[in-house]
Amino acid sequence: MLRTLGRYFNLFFITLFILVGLSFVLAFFFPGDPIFNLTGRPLEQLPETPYTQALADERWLVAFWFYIQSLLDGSWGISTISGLDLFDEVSTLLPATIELSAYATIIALFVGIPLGFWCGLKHHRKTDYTFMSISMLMSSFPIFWLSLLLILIVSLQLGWLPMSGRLSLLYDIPHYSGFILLDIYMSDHPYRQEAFVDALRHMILPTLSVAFLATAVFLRTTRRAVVDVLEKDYIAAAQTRGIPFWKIFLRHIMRNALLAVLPLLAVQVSTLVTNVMIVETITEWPGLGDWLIQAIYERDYTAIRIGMLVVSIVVVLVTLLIECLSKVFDPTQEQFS
Amino acid sequence: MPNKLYNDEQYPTPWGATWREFKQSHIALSGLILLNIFILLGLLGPLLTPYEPYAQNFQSLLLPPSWQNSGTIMHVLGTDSVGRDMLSRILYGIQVTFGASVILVLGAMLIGVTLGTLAGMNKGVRSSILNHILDVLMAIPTLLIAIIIVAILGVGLSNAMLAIGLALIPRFVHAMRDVVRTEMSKNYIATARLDGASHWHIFYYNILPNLVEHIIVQATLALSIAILDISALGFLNLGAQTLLPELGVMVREGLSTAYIAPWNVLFPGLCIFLLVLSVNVVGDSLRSAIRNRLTH
Repeated sequence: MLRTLGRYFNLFFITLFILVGLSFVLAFFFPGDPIFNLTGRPLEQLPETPYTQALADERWLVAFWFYIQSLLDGSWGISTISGLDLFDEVSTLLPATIELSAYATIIALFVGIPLGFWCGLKHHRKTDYTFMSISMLMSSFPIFWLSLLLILIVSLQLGWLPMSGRLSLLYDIPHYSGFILLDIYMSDHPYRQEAFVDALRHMILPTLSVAFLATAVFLRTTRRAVVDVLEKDYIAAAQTRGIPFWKIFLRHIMRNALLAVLPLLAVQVSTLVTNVMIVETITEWPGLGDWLIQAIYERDYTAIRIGMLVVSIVVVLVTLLIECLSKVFDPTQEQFS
Repeated sequence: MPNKLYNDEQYPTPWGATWREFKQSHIALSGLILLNIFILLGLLGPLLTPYEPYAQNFQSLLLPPSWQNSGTIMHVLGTDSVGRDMLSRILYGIQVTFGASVILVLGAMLIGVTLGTLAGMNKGVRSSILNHILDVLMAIPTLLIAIIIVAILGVGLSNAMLAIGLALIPRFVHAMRDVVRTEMSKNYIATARLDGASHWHIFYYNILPNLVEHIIVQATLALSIAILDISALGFLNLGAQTLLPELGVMVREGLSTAYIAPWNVLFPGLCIFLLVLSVNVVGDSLRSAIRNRLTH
């Protein structure tokens, strides 16, 4: 187990290094001056530091070393369009994205996995076929169309829920952690209760559109894993011994099926993030995805560089974490080759 | 078999057996029919359309579909905000979206299968490094790759195809690597080795025939991802540009008049949905047909 953890620790740092290197190199590929792309300012306006000295002398390897240091310091440069500090921008936007993805994942897990177990246990019967067909329909929706349809029907036609944004402008909640529900809970706003309900109402549509697709995937994955486990010899052996079904389910089916689901979820992280980014642009959720897509419209290359770095690091971290957990829990899995 | 003199027992070919399992399911067959209709429309679309997809008609702006009271039969699915016929644009859109997806999946497949076979047949440090890098690449979201490519090369359908292709290659490599590795550990490969077969020989005569089914299943999976991503990039204005009748672009254009003319958002999206659904149904049924064939 320690060896596995060590391998993943190594792998994460190597990947981190590659991604940081990539973000440095990207500044040269983007149109315009690489120094401007790295810092957001032309060379003349930069303060005199060893980093800028290295950039000015075009000693790129030394500059890369200082670049890593500046990333660790939190001086990530400024946006070329708005002139705001990128570190502050990202640290206010990232919690919003994490919030949306986390709630959607939680809903999808709590709906998809139990349904998947149910379908798996009843496989090749009517309930199974019904849910399989429904999940097939659900997973074929283009995310942007689904989100638009929900907005058109629920917000425009019925007027039940707000169309876009994260919180009504009436409520002035001070920024504390970036997670809106937590912020409202922590604040001493006189209309805290109302603000909480308002935030929830804003959250429903984007969360549901992301969770809709994820649920379908989780359902299918879990059902497949359960069916595979049911065909194993140890289930038949347990049945012949006369062990009651609920015991077989708890002891053998559930544990083994969940182990098989875990690595498949790791593959879904990147799809989930893409979906969250698209939904953010449509519902104007003030998260990293919306910001990044605005940055590409405005050709804000410093923002693209940092946004790409942050999103890919978060995604790789989560993916590796899930993979590592599944390897640690499941000793039968193929070890590193 | 021309001569049925003896009561020989006939064994169906693997493909015949797969087809026999496949046609058991009505859903699978209807998916296949729908997919074939889409392929036909994609190929013949330009011959069938009554209007040019770019032809604007200021006499008939925002006409509703023909089954509504104010619609006309001249424009079956209505018109958009500059009077372009919806049906013609959708038929052209199928060609653009579906065609682009097929081309990019074929490209990604070629590269991915080659790399995957190399990774599966080789062992040791080189293969391990390749595997880890590809696993990490697979974790990076498609949209992010697309944003980087757009930032470097600019917007356009071909750049979007490049981005999605790059994102799909690791999937093929990953799947092929696992299959090739399990095949390589089987006895018939060892036999072929003992007979003195070269690497190329083993790949071409022993592994490739066993790989074809997996390649096709992966290709259908990749195709549905490709269609969804191409239209999503078109919708976000990072892929195909406004003039091209791409389905995602059409959804974005319909958005500005979505309140008074919801059909401009509805029909292109519905078309993407059905296209993806048919690909998904065929792919999923094919997978279960192959699984059933192997277990029976």
